[in-house]
Amino acid sequence: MSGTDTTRRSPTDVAINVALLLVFVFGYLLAEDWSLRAALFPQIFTGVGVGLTLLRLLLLLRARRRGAAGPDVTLVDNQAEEESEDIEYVFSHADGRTWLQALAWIAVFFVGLYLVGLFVIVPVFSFAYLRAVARTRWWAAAIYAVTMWAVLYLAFGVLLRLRMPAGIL
Amino acid sequence: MLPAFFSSLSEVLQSGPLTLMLLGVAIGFVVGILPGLGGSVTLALMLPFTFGMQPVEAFAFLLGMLVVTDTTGDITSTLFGIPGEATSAAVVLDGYPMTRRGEAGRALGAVLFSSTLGAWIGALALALAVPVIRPIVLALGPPEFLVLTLVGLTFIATLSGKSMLKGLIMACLGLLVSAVGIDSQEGIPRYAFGQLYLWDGIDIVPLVVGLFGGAEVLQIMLSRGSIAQQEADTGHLAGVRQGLVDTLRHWWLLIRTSLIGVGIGVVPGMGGSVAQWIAYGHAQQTSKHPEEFGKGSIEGVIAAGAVNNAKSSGSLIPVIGFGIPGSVSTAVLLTAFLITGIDPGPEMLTTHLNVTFSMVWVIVLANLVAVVASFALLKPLTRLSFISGPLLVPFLLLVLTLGSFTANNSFNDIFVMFGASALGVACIRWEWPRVPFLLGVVLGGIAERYLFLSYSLFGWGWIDRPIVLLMWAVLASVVLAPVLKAIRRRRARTKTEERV
Repeated sequence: MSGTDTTRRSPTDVAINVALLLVFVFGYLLAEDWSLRAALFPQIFTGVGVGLTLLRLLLLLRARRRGAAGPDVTLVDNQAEEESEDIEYVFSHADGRTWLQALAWIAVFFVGLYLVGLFVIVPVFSFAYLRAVARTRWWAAAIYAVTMWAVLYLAFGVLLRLRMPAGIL
Repeated sequence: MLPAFFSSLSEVLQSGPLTLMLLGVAIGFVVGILPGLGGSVTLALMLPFTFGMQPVEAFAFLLGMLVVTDTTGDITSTLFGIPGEATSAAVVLDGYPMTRRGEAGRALGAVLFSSTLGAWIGALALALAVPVIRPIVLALGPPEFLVLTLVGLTFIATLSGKSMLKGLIMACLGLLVSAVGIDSQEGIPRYAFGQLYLWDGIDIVPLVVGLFGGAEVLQIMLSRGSIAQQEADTGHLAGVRQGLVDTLRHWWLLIRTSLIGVGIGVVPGMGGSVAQWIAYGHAQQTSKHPEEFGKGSIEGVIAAGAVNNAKSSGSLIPVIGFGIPGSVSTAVLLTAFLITGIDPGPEMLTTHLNVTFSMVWVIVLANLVAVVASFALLKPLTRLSFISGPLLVPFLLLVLTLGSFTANNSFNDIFVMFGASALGVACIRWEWPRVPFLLGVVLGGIAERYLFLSYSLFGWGWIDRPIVLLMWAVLASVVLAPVLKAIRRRRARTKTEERV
């Protein structure tokens, strides 16, 4: 059995399992109001989902009772690890301030997108982000911002004729 | 038939079709590299330009563009960890870790070469299969297609990271997401919560872009470094040569995964998103070093690259033979048949045989052009991975946004991408696999459709049809084999501990 699943007995893992269990139960109950044909398929997999999350929850709790030396909750030893350890490391070891800054920049981009649209937010965000985070010189940041706008306008707008998200303002 | 095969080559090499094919290749090259802007979307955008073209010209343009997006999509997957195409997602699992440890050149060499060879094997299979595929496909009904879909889902177990249970739970979550929208049987809105947007279901494009791309962008923002973290042999052509040698060294894997691609591509509705994971799972199961998969296995890169292009040829078989699209892209391509005045079906094997074989040649030539161009530009492309992370952030946010928005021109798709990004980050942070979730979303609608067709046609008797029984056995072996292996290993470990 896998011996490297470091999160498997953590309280967070139990909480995620409980949340998923609730999602499946909720999905199953919602489907009860529909006709048989509409509800059959969702009820099959939400039912299976309830069973699997309950099973995993029981195994998790049993393992926690037995302590760190308890049996693994994994059914198989699977060698595939979807994520590289680097990206896991970055997400698990970035400090709160770095997380806050990154999320704030993302919020700025998407709130700006919603308010003023892609044509405005792309050059503005590019300039501000490069100046603040990459410490790029102002003229280099300006060239980058103008290039981004030109690529957006010429390649996507004129050549590919894509519709751009427009802001509400 | 041979004269038609060779005369169609001379048709493709005439100035008109050749120019249009090269134009299509150029567009496909760029579109493939840009994450999120899928081949099917671009195909739909370019379709109006085929009005007035001869059939061979139209397919040289459209097919040339489509097959190249599959090839160059692997470049983005390998260098940035963002799938250029939804069908390039499997390349990320091993191609990107190789880039991060400084083997971008080797990974690109392997993935591009395997993609091209996969495309050629697929084209050969297409040429050989067209006259004989009809009776085989007609022998299969919805029950067989349903169990085939379930077999695809069970491969999740081999892709589910460190825990099979987690993988199965994520697959169920994906199926739940696939059920969102108007039910095709009764017209009842399911899990829509009164939101009109959700009546159409959740589009796969913003979901894929967010799930895989969003997490990578956030990671770049958090780490603030370049994508590649080592200066090893990237940028050196020696790495590329090593990738080419690796591909040839694993020739049997290349052929097997290419044939898986053709086989899955033939099945209507299964599409490349499924084929890549099945081939990847097969490569892992048969590998002598399965522990390297997901960490930068060259076998994983070769399998994912080869299957990707081979399935494009496979998915053309039901379109040409029966007018049944095997994927979103071929569904769009089917429209081109109507625009150029051709009826798919027997005509394609008789009066329009030259058009059918011209498609084979377009696949061969377009991939050749694309891979030569890719290798010629490989050095600058490889160096892209050493660009400072913050410099890439605005551009990546732009393509993430555009890739999501262009699916339906809806701002709601951006919210979906945003949600999928959050889910992707959570999955990585707490070690829940993303792939089974995605596969559940992709296969959910297909499985439900086949379930109802099977029940309508055969009642519950569909379960014990002979071919279905055979497929059940395959499915059971896929699930039980790793469980039994784990039990045996635990017993062996217990015995060793007792001895100690």
